[in-house]
Amino acid sequence: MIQFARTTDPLALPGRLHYVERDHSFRFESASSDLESARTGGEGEASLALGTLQLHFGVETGLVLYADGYCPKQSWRPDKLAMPTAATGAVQVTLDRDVVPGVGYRVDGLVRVEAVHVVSARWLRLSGGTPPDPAAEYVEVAQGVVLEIRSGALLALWLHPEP
Amino acid sequence: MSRRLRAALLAAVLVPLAAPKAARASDCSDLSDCYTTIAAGVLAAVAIGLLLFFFWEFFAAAAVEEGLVIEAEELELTQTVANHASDVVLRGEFAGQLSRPYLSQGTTQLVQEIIEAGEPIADPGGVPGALRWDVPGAFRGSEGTWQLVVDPIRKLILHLNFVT
Repeated sequence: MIQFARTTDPLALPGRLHYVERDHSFRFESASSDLESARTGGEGEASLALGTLQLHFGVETGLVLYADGYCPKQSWRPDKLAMPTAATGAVQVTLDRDVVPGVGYRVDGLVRVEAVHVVSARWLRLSGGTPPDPAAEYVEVAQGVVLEIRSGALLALWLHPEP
Repeated sequence: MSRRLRAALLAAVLVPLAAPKAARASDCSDLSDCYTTIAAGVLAAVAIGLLLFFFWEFFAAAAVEEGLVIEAEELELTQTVANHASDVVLRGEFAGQLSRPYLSQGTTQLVQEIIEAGEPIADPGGVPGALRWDVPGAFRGSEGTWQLVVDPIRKLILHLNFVT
């Protein structure tokens, strides 16, 4: 069981999320090593595995850092979705077991993800196949990386890569 | 069953059935004997043709299969994967160790073991030609699955992760 909770920290990790065609992957370049280090803590980082995409978090702090990893465009399905308004901030994850650095943890409901691409707005939404929840919280934890959370569960991940 | 094995088995069955007795000019004592000899010659030619065809199939299939053999030592990590190779743990049980040692220490051996441990499937991500392995394993005391996606044409490791 993995729980997600927004903290009082109002900042998103600044940086640049982009899609690397050669790698078929998203990559995030942090623009604040201080904030990234503070959120990571000293015990390294682990990740949440959404398919082959990874949502990194600090082992010591539980704070979500950013998303990156393999997510080929060939698997994206174009569709029209309205991106709800997101607020910048931090999200803390809590696992029901000891977290080990370097391990990817599967998230219930997101083991296999469906990637919906809102072409006109350059948003990509990764979910377990559920539509966007208007009652969910949308927290931008890093620039271009938004978590859709409701009742402690991660419903979807929204990515807004720079061109 | 591999294409190579199927071709070899087919050749082993068909060629003895199709091969006639050797046709010789001395057998041609009258016209009907001549026709028999000609027919036997045609059958022999067909048999030889079939033999050559199946030998060609056999070696072509072997060459294709050899071409698909993926050697871990020839593969490179994409920059996205490699970006996490140098993250170091500062405190706790794994202090001083890399967060993901499998990306820089013993990577070739690990990847080779994953490749040899199971049959790949076509990458569900849809990258043409890419192959994916999901192999049970363990890391730092956790049981889980090694995920590997390889582009064998560009010889790139597109994805390597341990998930639980």
